[in-house]
Amino acid sequence: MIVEQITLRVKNIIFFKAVCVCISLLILTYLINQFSDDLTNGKIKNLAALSKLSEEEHRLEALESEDKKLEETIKVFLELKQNQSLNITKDCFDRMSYQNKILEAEKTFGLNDSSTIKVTEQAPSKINKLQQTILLNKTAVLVEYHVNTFTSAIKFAQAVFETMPENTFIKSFDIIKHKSLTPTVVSWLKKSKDPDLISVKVDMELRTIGLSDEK
Amino acid sequence: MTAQITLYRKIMHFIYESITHSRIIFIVGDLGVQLNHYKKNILTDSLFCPISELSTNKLDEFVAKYNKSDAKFIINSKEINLQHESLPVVGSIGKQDPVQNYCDTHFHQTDLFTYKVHSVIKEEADIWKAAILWLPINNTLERCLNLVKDNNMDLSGFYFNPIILQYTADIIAKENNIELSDFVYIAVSVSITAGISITLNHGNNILSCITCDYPMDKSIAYIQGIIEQNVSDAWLKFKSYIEQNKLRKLNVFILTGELKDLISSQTYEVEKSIFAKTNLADQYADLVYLDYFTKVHQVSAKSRNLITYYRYLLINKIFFKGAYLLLIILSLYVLFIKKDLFDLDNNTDKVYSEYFKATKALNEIAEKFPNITNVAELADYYNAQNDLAKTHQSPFPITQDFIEIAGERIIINKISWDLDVKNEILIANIDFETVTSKSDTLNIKSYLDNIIKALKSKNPNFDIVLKTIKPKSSDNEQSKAITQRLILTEIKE
Repeated sequence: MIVEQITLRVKNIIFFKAVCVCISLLILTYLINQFSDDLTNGKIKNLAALSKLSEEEHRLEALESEDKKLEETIKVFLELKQNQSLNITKDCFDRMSYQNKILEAEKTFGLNDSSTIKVTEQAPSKINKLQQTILLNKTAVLVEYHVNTFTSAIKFAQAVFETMPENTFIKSFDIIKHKSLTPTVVSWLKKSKDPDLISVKVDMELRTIGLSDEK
Repeated sequence: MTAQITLYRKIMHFIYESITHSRIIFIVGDLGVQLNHYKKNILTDSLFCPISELSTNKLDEFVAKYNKSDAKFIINSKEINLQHESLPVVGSIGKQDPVQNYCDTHFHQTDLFTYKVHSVIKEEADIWKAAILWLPINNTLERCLNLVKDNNMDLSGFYFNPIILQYTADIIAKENNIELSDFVYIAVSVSITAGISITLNHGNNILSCITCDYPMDKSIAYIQGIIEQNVSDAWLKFKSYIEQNKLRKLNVFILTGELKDLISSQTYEVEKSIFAKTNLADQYADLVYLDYFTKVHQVSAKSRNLITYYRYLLINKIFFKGAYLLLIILSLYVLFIKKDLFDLDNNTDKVYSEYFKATKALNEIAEKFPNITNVAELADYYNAQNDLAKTHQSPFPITQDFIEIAGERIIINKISWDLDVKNEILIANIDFETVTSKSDTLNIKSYLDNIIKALKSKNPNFDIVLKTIKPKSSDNEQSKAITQRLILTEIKE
């Protein structure tokens, strides 16, 4: 009987301890989840703060520079602002004059067939998350042609690239030598000349900075 | 087997000692109860309470002083029953220990029992021969258990005196370089709680256990006479057993003081008499006996109730230690995260304070440009212009160089330049074939190496790597065409 009572006491102790351990585990699990979430949010806030700071320091650095370019930039910027307030938009890419330049280059390099030019204006994008008014305007220019030597393929591509305004860069430049007669290749055949079996594709992008109309 | 049992006892003893720091050993006898408090195996306090004073507060006060201890019981009483049983193993399913089955079915659930299997006879069914000791819980024991209950102490074992005497005799024999299995032996001890205890053992078997009164009013010589008479009677009782098995006889005495001197001066009709090593002058040998008891883990007696109790105790002591450890680890982890969070918040505050300083500086600079309303916008515009002005390497010169250097041995299939948007670098893959005779493999390799070297020297801003894409044999058995790829990667300044 007495041993049963002692056993009962131990059972009660075990029950009490088990309840305490369970409650503690629940509390600790809750705290771990809560603090982990807080930590994640804290990291995001910290990164945002660092990004803001870096942006601000970058601005400070730019305005503190004694560069002559800054003075020129101020002039352009003020002009841009004035145009913005008068609602005047300046086309950043003159298609007609560009096409003429390409035709001249075709004549210079003696291309049998004229090249294909495709110009696409892309939607302006913000330069960064914090900046709302300054936009990046993008114009994609794709030039395709076919020639009979690798050297003329490269030289013409270089001439095409050099006709582009400043701030243009090459996204891709592909030269393929065709070894079989596909319908496209057959359409290039000429009686008077050897076929031009090297097709070239130059994909370029022109980037310019603009100001948003939003006030 | 014996070595394994000894090792097991040592391990169990170590585990018990490591989880228990303090304990009270109750020696419960027919003459009284002796309480001994041990802290880390050192006797720190002791109290003897005769049967007549059991109802007084002496015991309660002593136990209350050490109520954080575990309780161990040594039972030394005439009421301990010894019975010998031969039990066959029945069936292969269920409990395999027939002695345990026997005890479970024959004793009351509160009866304490322990047993020693001394031989197993291999016949059609194995027959286990065991000496079983059992005791119904008496008033003295109940009084002590009440003390344990009232003080919320844990029970850590019940031990019967005859079994302890077996273990003690084994240690004393080893101290005297004697192997007990060669002998039938009598172990004698004198205790204040029960008087004179005599057990006759052979191997694991307890042949007989006797407890005689210790007449306190008589002289030591008289006590000596009682011991000698009872020892002689025990030998006589098992004379035919000893002769039949041609056994050698041994006396093991756990005695102290004058009684030890008197007994050791006598000669007995046995092969050898050995004594526990002690210089104690005490009349009773309890301290020596306890000293041996604490040296080795022994098999505890149990009752059906106690088996349940021990299971719960095990959960209470072992499982919760693990659970507490887990809680500590989790708590440390929580603290660790909280500290990280605190540091991060501090860092964010510092960054913001730097940011506000920079904003203030920017506003001060704004005064230099009076015609500009938003200097931050101007700065962003300036930086964006600068970023756009960063140019890439032109892909045309290096491509032209490759075509010029390559010569007729190389057939170009495809040239492909692409801008890696993530890293803002130009990468080119130039696929070409080299056709060469099979014996000319080494030459073409050095030829290509030379091309790469020449390209590198003319275009240090590009990293150049050559890869073999597909080596294959052409129709002509004498030559083979290998498709290769030249990878050009712009090096950022």
